[in-house]
Amino acid sequence: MISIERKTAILKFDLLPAQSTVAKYWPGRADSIGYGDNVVYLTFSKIEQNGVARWECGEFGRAYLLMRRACNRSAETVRGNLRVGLSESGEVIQPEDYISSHRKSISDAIEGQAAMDLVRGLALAVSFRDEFIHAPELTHAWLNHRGAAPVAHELKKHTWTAQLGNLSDDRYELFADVFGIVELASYQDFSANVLPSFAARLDEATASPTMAQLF
Amino acid sequence: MSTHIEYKHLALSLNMAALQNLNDCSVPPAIKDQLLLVLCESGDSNCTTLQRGSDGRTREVRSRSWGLRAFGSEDDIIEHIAKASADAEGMMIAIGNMGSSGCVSAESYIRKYRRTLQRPVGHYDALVPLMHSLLTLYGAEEAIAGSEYFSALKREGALTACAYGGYSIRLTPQDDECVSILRHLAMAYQLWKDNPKIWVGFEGLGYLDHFLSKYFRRAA
Repeated sequence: MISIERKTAILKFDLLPAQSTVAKYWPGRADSIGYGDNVVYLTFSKIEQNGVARWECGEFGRAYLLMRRACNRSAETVRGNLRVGLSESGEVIQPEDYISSHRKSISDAIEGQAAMDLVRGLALAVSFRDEFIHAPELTHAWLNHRGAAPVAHELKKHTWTAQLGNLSDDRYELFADVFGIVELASYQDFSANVLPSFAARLDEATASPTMAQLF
Repeated sequence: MSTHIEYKHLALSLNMAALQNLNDCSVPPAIKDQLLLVLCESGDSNCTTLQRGSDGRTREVRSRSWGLRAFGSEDDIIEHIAKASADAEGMMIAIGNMGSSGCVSAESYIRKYRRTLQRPVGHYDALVPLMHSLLTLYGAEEAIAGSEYFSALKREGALTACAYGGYSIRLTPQDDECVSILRHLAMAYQLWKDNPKIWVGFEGLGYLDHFLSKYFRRAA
C-alpha cells in the first residue's frame, strides 16, 4: 500500500525550566531532564493512504529517536511505497533525501510560544502497558490530575487506555505535561491516535507555508 | 558497548542469464538479470586478535572478517542499508575507524553503498570469491523445511548443520559448471524474500583483497 506523507509538524520543548514542576509529579525524575540537551520533541505526520489523509503520532522524545524513525521509514521510499509532498500522487524520494529532509525539519521545529499554543489543544487517545515500568502509579496520578483517568483493558493485563487532553494553561505545568507524554511514549506497547479536535489544530498550524511544511 | 566497524566494501554482480537459459529453476523476477552481493570487511570494536607485524612483533589488533552485508536487486540492497542507516546515525556502525573519524551520518552511509554498487566486480571475477565458500543460513530451520529445494539438498547431505543452529552449503561447481552456485544463490534469495527473518551469510570468502586493488576507489 502506498503512503503519502503530506505534512509533518514537529514541536520542540526545552524542559529545563520545568524541573521543579516535573519533580512534583515524578519525584526523583527531574534530574533526567538535564541529561543531554534537555530538549524533547513531539512529532505528528499527516499520512494519506487510499485517498484518506489523517494525522498520526510520530516519535515522542529526543532527537535521536526521531532520526531513528526517519531512517527506518526511509527504507519504504526505495520502492516508492512511501512518498512525500502535496502533489496528488506524492513525489518519489530517495531514502537519503528523506532522512535529510527530516533532519532539517527537526532543526526547523516549531518551538517557543507557538509550540506551547499548539500543544495546549492536544487531544490523544493513548494506550500503554506498564507491567515492567518503575513506579507507573506516578504517571497514573498525573493522568488523573489532568482528568484523563486511565481505564484498564478488559482482556490484556497491565494495559490501559486514556483520553489525553485538557493540558494545563500554566507554562510550567504544560512542560510537565509534555514530560508526561514523553514518559508515556517510553512505556511498552504505547500507541496514540490523534483526536479530531487536535487534528484540526494541526491542519491550521501547518496551513501556513512558514509553519512546519516539511516538503 | 561496542561499535561495528566497516573497513572495506566490495560489490559483486552475478549474471543470472545462464541460469535462466537452462530453465531448470525459477529465478525470482527481481534478480532475473543480475544478482548483486555487497560484501564488507568488518568487525566489532571490542573484539581483538593477535597479529604479527612485518617487524616480527606481535600486536593486538581489532579482528575483522569479510561477510555478506546485503544481497538481491539494487532496491533490496538500498532498502536493507536504509534500515541499517539508523545504526550509523546512532554510532553503532562506524566506517574505517572508531570515534569521530569513523562517525558517519545516515545519508553518507547510504551514499557509501550507492557508490559501492556503481562499480561491482562482474563477469567471471564475481564468482571467484564465492568459489568453495560456505553459504550459511541461520534461523532458517522452518523455512528450509518448507522449501522443496533446500529440503532436497538436506536429504542429499549437501546442506549440513553448522554452529548456532545454522545450515551451510559449500558453493562448489558441479560437473565443472558454475551454474550450481548461481542456482543455490537464487534459491537462497527466494528463501530470504519469503522469510525475511532468516540470516544469509558467507564464510571462507577468498581473493577479495585482490579485487579491491582493481575496483576499489581510493581517496585522492
